[in-house]
Amino acid sequence: MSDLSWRLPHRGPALLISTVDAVSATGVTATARVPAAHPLHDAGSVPAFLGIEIGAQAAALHESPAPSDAARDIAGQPRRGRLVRVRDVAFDAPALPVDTPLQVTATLHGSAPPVAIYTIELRHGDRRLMHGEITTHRGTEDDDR
Amino acid sequence: MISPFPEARLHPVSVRADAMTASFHFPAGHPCFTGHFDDDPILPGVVHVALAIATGAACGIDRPLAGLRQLRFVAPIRPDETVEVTLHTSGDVRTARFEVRHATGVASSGTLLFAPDAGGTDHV
Repeated sequence: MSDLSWRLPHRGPALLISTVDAVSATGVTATARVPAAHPLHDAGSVPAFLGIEIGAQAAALHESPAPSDAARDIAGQPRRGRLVRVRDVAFDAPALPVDTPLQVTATLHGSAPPVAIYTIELRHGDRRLMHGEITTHRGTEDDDR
Repeated sequence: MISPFPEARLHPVSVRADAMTASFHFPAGHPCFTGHFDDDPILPGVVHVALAIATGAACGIDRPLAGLRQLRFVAPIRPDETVEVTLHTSGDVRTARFEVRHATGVASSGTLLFAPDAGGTDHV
């Protein structure tokens, strides 16, 4: 199981982040990879709007706490955040390649916990694929099932 | 633009002068729920966008998606729910608002931005 399992609740083809490359107080850079088993996969690519989900998972990594009881839900799983809003997203390419390393950056724009705003950017080498702004709601004890 | 989930779309599609509405049903075990999440499956937010695009595609709208002006998520969609997706068109062929509704109300809404027509025939 990926060592991201304690930081992200996504599993199997839903998990789009491969590795965390850098984390700071202001953001995170990670390597993403869309698996061929992803349900939106068609003929070697997925729609570019899947980059929003990649950015959201990167933001979740930035928000994911260190392993501790207080940071997990009652089942001991990573507390689940939610994507609540997306704004001003532009697709510089129509599609994303599958099974290909992509570089995702989520930069913290502002926060009022449990809500945070990130600018996200997805690149393939020196080519930008998409960028935009997302707002996330970090799960709280009230969200535990 | 590829139209995903053809097997999930219910018939018929309702078409009016300024809007089109399609219904979708995702049964438990649909691939979209796999790993999202194992103990509490919900439809990924980007699939809401795919549903809006699929609704347009069912009515002949096949322009490349250039961006999203805004997208708002209100409530999750879970397995075995039937959702109704309405795509609102207007004189500006480069934008379209959409709503995804389920039994308890609006699940999401947003505005799609389409690429300009390469032939330069866009007009407001």
